Amino acid sequence: MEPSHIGGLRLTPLAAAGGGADFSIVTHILPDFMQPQQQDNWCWAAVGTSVGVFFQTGAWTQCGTAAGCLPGGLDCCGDPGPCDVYGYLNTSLTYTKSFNQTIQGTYGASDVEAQVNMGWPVCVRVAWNGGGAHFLAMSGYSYPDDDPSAVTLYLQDSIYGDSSMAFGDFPALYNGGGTWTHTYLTQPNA
Amino acid sequence: MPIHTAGAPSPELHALVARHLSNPLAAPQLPPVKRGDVSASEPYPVYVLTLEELEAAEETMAEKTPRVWRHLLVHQGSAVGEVDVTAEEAAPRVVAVHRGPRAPGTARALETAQQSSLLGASDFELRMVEAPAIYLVALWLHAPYDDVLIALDPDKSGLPLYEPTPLEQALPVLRRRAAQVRAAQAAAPGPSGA
Repeated sequence: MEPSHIGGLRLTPLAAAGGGADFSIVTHILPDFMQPQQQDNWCWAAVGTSVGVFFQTGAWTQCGTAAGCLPGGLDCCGDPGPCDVYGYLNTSLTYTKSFNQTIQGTYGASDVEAQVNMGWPVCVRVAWNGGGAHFLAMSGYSYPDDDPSAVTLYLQDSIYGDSSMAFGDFPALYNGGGTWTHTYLTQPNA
Repeated sequence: MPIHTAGAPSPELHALVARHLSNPLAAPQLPPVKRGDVSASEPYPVYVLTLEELEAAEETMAEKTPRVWRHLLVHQGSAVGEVDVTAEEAAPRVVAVHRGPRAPGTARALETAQQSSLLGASDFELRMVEAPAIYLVALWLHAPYDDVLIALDPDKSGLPLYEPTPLEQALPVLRRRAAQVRAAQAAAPGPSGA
């Protein structure tokens, strides 16, 4: 029996409506791999490290990735403060032997589907509305087999965790909303 | 401390959420919705601020309109996820389901609010305020002459987590973080991120 309130908010049980989908689903969802970012500005290090660990290309750590990508021979594990800066995802994915290519702009739903079917997350850069930018990964999709245009996208984010939403709503309605500026294809590189 | 939520844009939101989550692929990372084992909270509005709005927040916060309405999802007494619904009254729809640190963080911040002597017996309206540019994630407890923020995970704005902070004390912290973000972006031109 669920409690009726949480923190003063009234709760109402959700009753499943209609027993779920009555159509076949086409889907592929990669397992959770995204690590929470360990410093305020380390989404680039977190995403690069997480993809590399997922691909098993090495025993990567976020601080090691940051040290390997930033100039100046910084000790990002012993003293992460000076390393807590904006960075570039193509650099961190290259460092973790997980980079394929950068595409300026967006990527189609069917292209994302093809990458995920190979087991390769598609990483993206979102410029938040009104300032700041963030990297995250697309790690799955689903759609009814009679409507391939109704794609649900599965996202992994080093700040916000996992999300699912309609492909067409991303990233305009993703958390604060933003613009999809770059796409980063990944692959394990020996 | 009593809290209340402002009127949701539609009385149908709960049914909308139930219908959306009855599709197991809507949120496969969450416990499946079976009869009565997942509950949704009443919806609360989420406001989003840009860097410019943060820098002039005293003026702009009062004029903001909600971006989405959010329901907290609760399973076996724990907050396990969130559902965002569009704020447009004409045709509300589910736009995202989330599973991450913000759901349990929101529950913990609400408990903090309930127990805080700072908030006393005032009646506050519950809102959420977010600024992705500085990763501000906070409860915004609003009363006619009193606004209090309670930052929660995964906030990285510099506000103390799970401590009620009067808005006038929070704004200098948020503006300082906004200036840091502008400087950090300027130091990494091109397609950088954080």
